Amino acid sequence: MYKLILFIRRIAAPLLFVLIEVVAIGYYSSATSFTRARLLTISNSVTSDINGAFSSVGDYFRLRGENQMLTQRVVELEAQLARWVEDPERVHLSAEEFAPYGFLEARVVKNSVFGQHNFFTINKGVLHDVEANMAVLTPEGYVAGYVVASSERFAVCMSVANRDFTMGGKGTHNDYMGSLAWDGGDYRRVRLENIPHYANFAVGDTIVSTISYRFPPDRVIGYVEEFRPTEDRMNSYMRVRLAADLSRLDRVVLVKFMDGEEFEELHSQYGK
Amino acid sequence: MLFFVAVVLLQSLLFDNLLLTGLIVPLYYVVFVVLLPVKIGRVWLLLLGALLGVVMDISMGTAGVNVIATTAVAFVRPMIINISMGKDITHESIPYGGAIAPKSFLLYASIVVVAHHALFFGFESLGSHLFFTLAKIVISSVATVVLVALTARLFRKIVG
Repeated sequence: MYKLILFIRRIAAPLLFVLIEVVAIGYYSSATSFTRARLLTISNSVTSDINGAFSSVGDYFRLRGENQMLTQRVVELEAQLARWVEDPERVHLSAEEFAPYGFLEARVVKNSVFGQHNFFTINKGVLHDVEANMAVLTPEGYVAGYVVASSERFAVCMSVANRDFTMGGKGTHNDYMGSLAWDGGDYRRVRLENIPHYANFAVGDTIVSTISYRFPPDRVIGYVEEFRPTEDRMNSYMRVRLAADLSRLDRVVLVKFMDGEEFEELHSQYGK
Repeated sequence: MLFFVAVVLLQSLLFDNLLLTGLIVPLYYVVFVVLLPVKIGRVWLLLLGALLGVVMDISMGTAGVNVIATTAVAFVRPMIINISMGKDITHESIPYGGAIAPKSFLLYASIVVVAHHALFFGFESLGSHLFFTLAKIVISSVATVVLVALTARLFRKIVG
């Protein structure tokens, strides 16, 4: 009996070690981006307020650049508005009931770009009507990610630099589409794949979003950096430099597609 | 206990927000495993390591990688202590105590940190971007070892 107890004491540590590792590896291998986002939602309830306080200190140092950017944005929007005003007929047609997108501003309180599954946390949550699958854009209108999970006052968003991130992208001048994904390397670059081999792109061309239940169409994703046919010559491969600087996200604009659910439902039924 | 909380807060509030470059990602929290008393029971060591891993996984949203790496170094820590410090350690109850040559402590801390970082980044990238991951392991480990050595010095001053 005494020997048995001795034996158990001797193997307790290795046994416990194996047990913990098996559980951890099992959990890790079955984890999806949704699991990771949920973990972050839990920790946010503790740390987000503190992170928010830190980021508000940084505010003062960014005011100048932000003001410049805002003025420029005002100019752009004024120019767009002027075109609408010139054509009263069109203004009339776009009555309020035909506003397919809702907008909301938020602040990024926590961000990461150096892992394989990067997320950032914003300071708006269920209380502010933030829900999963809303698009996240920078104030300049560049694509940054989309919302995955929200708690009461915070929401976790999947960054474009996340290996589970996908969206559609197309050229501004020729409308050829491809699917966009990040390969886990440099957070400033993504790839656009499955572009038809006859589509023609040049380095420097702008790549914008295609419409989906998450993203509004024609938002700038980035610029073509490298373009070549794949080895089998069936498709083309493209490397895109992102327009948004994901490591310096601060203020962001959330976009909700009002008919997103209907769009997705129809798409999942007949789109495949 | 206080040390545990301090380490977790430092990691999640400071080091996880230090966006220096993609290559320097110090996982400073492993200092907790490094500086635990020498004579702590192996089962306790494992449990504390796993608990630290769980907390960091929740904080970083890494779904298990921290537990894998931290529990593993907690398990092999007694062997690393034997290899790096040998006889010196019989007179000391803490790994950073006065009877231990700074060289031995540095060797011990380096082995623990490198093993931990290698497991963490290895499991996180799962073999992709091999060169980038290797560079990340080396550079981040150096940063963490420096931080760990500074912490040990500070503790030595406080303890006596």
